[in-house]
This record gives sequence, structure tokens and C-alpha cells, in this order.
Amino acid sequence: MRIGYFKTLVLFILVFGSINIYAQTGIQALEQKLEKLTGTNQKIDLANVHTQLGNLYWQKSEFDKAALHFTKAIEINSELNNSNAIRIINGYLGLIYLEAENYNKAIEYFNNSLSLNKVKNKKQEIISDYYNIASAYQYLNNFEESNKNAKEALSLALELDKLEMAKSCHLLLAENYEKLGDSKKSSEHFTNYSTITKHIQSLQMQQLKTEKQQIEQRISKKTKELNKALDTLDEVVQQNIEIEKQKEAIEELSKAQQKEFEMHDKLRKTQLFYAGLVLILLAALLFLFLIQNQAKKKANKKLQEQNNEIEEQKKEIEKQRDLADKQHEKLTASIQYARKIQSAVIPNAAIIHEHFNDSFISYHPRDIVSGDFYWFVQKENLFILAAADCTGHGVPGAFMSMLGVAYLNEIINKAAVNVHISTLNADNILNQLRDKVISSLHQTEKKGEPKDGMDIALCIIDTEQKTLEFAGAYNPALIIRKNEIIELKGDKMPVSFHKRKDIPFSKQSLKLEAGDCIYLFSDGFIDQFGGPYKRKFLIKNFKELLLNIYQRPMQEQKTMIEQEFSSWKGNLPQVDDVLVMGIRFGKLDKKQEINWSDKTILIAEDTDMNYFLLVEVLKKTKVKTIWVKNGQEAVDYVAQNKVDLILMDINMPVMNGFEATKKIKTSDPNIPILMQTAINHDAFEQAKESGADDFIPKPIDFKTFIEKITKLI
Amino acid sequence: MEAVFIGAQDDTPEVILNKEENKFELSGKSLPENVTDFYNPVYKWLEEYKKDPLEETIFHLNIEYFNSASHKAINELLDILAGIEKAGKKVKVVWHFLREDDDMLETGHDYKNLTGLDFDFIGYD
Repeated sequence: MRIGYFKTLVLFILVFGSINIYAQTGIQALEQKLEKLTGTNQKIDLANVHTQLGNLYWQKSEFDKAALHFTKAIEINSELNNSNAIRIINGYLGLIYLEAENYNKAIEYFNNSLSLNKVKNKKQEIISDYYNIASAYQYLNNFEESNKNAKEALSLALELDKLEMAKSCHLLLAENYEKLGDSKKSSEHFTNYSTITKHIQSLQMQQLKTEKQQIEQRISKKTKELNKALDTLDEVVQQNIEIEKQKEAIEELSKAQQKEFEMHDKLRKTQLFYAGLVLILLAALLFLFLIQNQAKKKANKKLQEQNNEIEEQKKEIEKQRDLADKQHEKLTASIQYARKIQSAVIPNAAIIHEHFNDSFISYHPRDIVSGDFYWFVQKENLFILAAADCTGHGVPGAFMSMLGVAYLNEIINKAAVNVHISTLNADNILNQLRDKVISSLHQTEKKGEPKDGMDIALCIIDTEQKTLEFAGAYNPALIIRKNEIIELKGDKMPVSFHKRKDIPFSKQSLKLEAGDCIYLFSDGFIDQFGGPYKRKFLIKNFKELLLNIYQRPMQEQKTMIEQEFSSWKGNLPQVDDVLVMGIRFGKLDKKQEINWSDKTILIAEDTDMNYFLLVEVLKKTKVKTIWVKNGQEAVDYVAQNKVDLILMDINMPVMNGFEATKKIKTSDPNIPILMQTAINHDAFEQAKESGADDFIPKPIDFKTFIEKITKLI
Repeated sequence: MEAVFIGAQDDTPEVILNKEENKFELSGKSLPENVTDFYNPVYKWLEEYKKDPLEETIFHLNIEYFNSASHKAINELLDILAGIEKAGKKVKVVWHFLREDDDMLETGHDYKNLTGLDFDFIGYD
């Protein structure tokens, strides 16, 4: 009940935006309430009281007072932004003024109500507003305006199937047209009015019939129920008679029982006993409850303890995680550093250009450090080149690779010193390498022991004899000559402990022709999963790729190979380290017989690494190099000593290259200065402006570098 | 003997060792970070099996990819099978390979030569 009332109340608030709780209260009480509320901040209550008073005065036809309160209510509701209340009260005011025969005012308020109803799209209210406006205009004898509004109301009423409203509109229109002298239209509307009236009547009849039927049904149902009840009543009466009889019997019985007081006493005792039993049971229950409660408390305590424990464990785990994070960070940093060491040990890729200017090395470790490595060395007319693939990748692979590089260097250097480099053969190198790996890693036959080692392809290119000698552990070498692939297969055994460890490696030799392309590689590329079926690239496709591109410059081939790899791989992870190297034989700059042993080049360069690289390239020219680390040092050195050429870096501390060049050129314009610049037009311009004779863009292309120096020196 | 089933992972192959059903299989990719950790239990099982093997053991190898360490590990596995054959029981290795993958076929032949075991080669597309 209460909920029902509350619901109704809420609905009422929603619809009228006012609490009708004072409906029962008389005007007097409300006026008192109003007095109390005036000046306070209880706006909602204030608005409600005004609305209520407006309503009550309206009921009493005290229109002025009603209008006053409603106007107030609108004011307050505007402050409260209660648009619903404003909308509805405007409608009330219209009706009040209509009743008070103040039609102009009525129209004004109906119009307010209309525009607000339009905003809210309250169609039924819109119809009422139009109709009310039409009525007001009729009273003012403004029949045209009245018709206009009546028609609006009519069309909406028909649209919404509001027959009563439509009927009223037609009547209004009929009256208006009569006054306007348009009898035809008037009678039309009147006919419509009658038709709708009849229709409504028939609908009402229908409704009445249905209701009558429903009532009849209800009556028959009730009658049935009543009959049933009557039957039951009969039964009850019968039962009562019987009960009466039983009562008599009981009375007789009780008389008999009175005589048996002892028995009663016994009965009482029994009752007492049961009462006692019940008490005991209750006590037991209470006891159980207490025990349970105790147990619960204990359990809670235990739970709390466990929670604490878990919390502690959590903290511990978090601590460990942080520690692990830190360790990971440290480890990564340490591996990053290991990479530096590895790249320092592996020969600088740039140096291979010195010997084969049409060559490339594509080297992509899967992790930070690599199990793949390339290696080369030049001794007299021999150029030894290897691509190796150690078991594992990452750190374990990198350890192996360091060992590999170190052993290869050792083998070559020993041979060069002890006997002669020409005694070295490719197979021989691998045999020695295998011995070293097995003995240093203490590899034995024992099963389940790691048999770390490496697969390798190794070539010795004799630039004078124009021969190539190959030995391989699993890995092959591919040579492409005039659209044909020559595959030199490696032996089926690794450089490590293996069943065939006592079988020596074999070698294959080949006469080289100018233009031969030699490729060495690890299995990283051919074993990479990818493509539409996520399969391995396979050597077959790798050969095809090389056949398609081998005629292009090697640097271009490098790009194409890398592009092919990444498009094959797609989103899949890189399986292993990837190493591919290629050189074109016969286009090597046969040393150019440069001999600058009587010349001195001053190198102004602040980065050690760059300096050593430059020296490495210049080594074969036998030129003497002087190293200064900034522009000022260069200026000072030139003032005291004779140099044949200055190789000038730009960004240096103390004095940059431009400034140094200007200074040197003003004091001695004849010293040629070659400036190293970034590839950018401004830098070229600036280099020229400062007086440099020429410039070479970084990264330095070694062939151009030597050419430029040759021109200047 | 209790059967062994190891499900395939990103870097390890699927392994089935089931004496009752005469089903012995290793298939997929093998590139675990630590090869011995993965293969040691397999060796151990096979060594146990070697004590009382079936009259004929048919071992299927269907390797899509292996790193060089796994290459050696499989060699050791085949060595155990060769031991069974030496003890007088029949052993057959069925080498499954992608028909395009010449390297894998060659590897199979190499294993055959190394172990002296009876090999069947089945190429698939």
C-alpha cells in the first residue's frame, strides 16, 4: 500500500512537476505555509504551494488570485529550470483567463504553453492549446484566426485519432464559417461533427456492451463462487452439528476423567518432562551455536592470518619481480655490451670493400648478439672468407662465435708465421678448427651432453691464381657464373664432436672467372618460416632469388635480399640469426699500385673509431698519417710541419672543421683540404665556402675516398 | 611401459612414444634453447624401451625445422634405435619431408648412412 502510494506520488511529481501533498489542506493552511516559506530557500516547496493555491482559488473561481499564484509559480519554476511545470501552468493560466473572459491574455498563455509543448513534442497538449486558442479567437469574433488554429488542432487530432477533440474542432469550425457567411463549409464541418458524434456514440455503445458482457461474466463467476461458498457453508453447518455432538461426548468423558486425577497428574508430569526436554534441547542448540560461533571466529582469525601471509607472499613476489626486472635490465645492458665486443672481434664489414669493392654482407642477429659470424683475412694474394653458424643463437651462440673467430685467427696467423700461408688449405683450416673446438670444450662421446660447435662455409680466394678453394661443414657456397649456379656442398658433419669427427674435411677447387659471384651464408635465411603457408624459404628459392639478382651491383643485391627476407617472414618471428655475404670476383681494384710512402696526411678527427677506420683504408697506400683531435690542433700542427693533405672532420670540439679550414687556407692556401661532410647540400656549400678543395660525404665510400685523395695529393 | 606424449610448442616438436600401439613419432619444429633438457627424457625412455622392445619398431620422423643442436640430438636418438636393431629386433625409420625441401631429404639420407638403419622416405606437398 505504502509503495503504491509512493509510486503514485512520484508519478504525480513527474507529470505535474509539483508535489500535490497539500491537496487536502485548505487555502488557509496553505497561505500559512506560504508565509513561512517566503524568504527561505525552499524554492521547490514554495513553487508547489503557489501551484496548490492557484488550483484552489481557481476552483473557487477567484481568477485574479489564482492567476497571481500561478504566475508566481512560473517565476519560481523558471529559477528551478522546471520546464514541465512552466509548460503546464501556462496552460492553466490560459484556461483561467478564458474563464475570466480575458481572451487576449488567454491567447498569450495558450501560445506560451503551445511553444513549450512543441519543444517537448506533447502532441495531445498541442491539440488542446490550438483548440483553446481557436475558442478564444472565436470569443473575440476573430473567426479567421480561430479557424486557422482550429484546423491545426483538427489535423493533429485526426492524426492521433482523438475523436472527441476532432468533433469539437469541427463544431467550432462550423460555427465560425456560419458567422463568416460560408454556409457550405459550415454545413460540411457540421456534417463531420455529426458523423464523428455518431461514431463516438457507437463506439461508446460498443464499449458499454463489452463492459456489460464483462460485468455479466464477472457476475456469473461470482455466482458460481457464491454457490460453492453456500455448499461449503452447508458442510460447515453439518460439521458444527457433529462438533456439538462430540462436545457432549467429551463432556461425558471429562466427567469420567475427573475421577482419574492420578492419571492427570501423570500427564502433567509427562508434560513437565517434555518441557524440560525442550529446554535442554534449546540449551544444547545454544551451546552448539556458541561453539559454531567460536569456530567461526577461529576460522576468521585463521583466514586473517592466511590473508596476512598471502599479503606477505605478494610483497615477496613483488620484490622478486622487481629484482628480476632489475636483473633483466642489467642482463640486457650486459648483453648490449657483449654485442660491442662481438662486433669488435668480427672483422669490420667495411674492410671487405677494400678488397672487393663489389661486395656485401647482410648480417641480422635474431637477438642482440649472434651465433652467426663472418670472418675474413687477407694474407698476400690469398683472401680467406668464412660464414659460420654456431649452435644456438643469442648469448650461447655468441660465445661459440668468439671462440670460432679466435681460433680461425690463430690458425691463420700460426701458419703465416711458422710455415707459409700458401700451405694452408680450406679443408685443413676446418680440420684444425674442429680439433680446437672439441678439445677446448672437452667434448666426448657421452650421450645427452651438448655437442656445441658450428657449421661453416670457408673459401680461400687466390687473387693471383684466380682460384677458389672451398671446404664446408654442412654449409655450402654458391657461385653464379653466366646464369648457372655452381653449388659447392659442405661435408655432412659439423665443426664439433660427431660420429665423423675422425673423417677429415674435404676441399673443392674452382677456377674463377671475372664476374663470378660468390655467396656464403648461414641457414638463417633458407630456414626462415613465412610466405602463404608459413613454410621454410628453402635453398631452392634462395638460389632462384640469387639467379634473379646476381647481375645487379652487390649493394643493391643486399637490399633486395633483405627486402625478400622481411616480406617472406611477414609477421612471424625471425627463427635464427641471418647472414648472407656476396662478392663479385674480378672487379677488385687490383691494388692500383698506390704508393704514398713519401706523403703525409693530417687527419683531424675527434672520434677514435672513425680515425682507425680511415687509417685502415689508407694502410695499403703506405701513406704516413698524423692524428689531431680538433681544428685548433690541426692549425697548430700545420703551422709547424709540412703535410701533403688534410682530411678534415667538421664537428669537433674546441674548433670545428670550417673554422680550421679558413684559418689554414689564409695562412697557406696550397695545402689541399678534403672535408668529410654529411650528405646534405648546405654542408657542401659550407665546405666550399670555408675554402676546402673537395669534400667527401659520410659514410665514406672507400673507392671514391681513394680517388679523391689521389686527385689532391 | 607408460606411453609418453609431449605436445608441440613453438620451439619443440610433438613426441609420441607408445609401445602398446607401436606408435613412435617426432614431428614439427625443434629449436629449443636447451636441447639436452628437451631430449634427455626421450633418450631415457628409449633406453628403457631398448631393454624389451617390440619385434618391429617403426619410428616416424617428420621434422619441419631443426637447429643445429637438434640435428645432433636426433642423431643420438637414432643411435639408440640402431642399438635396438643390433640387439636383433627390426627397426624402421620413416622419414617424412616436404618434397620441395631438398636439404631435409639429404639430411634423412645422411642419417641413414650414419646409423645404418632402414629408412623409408615419404615426401609430402
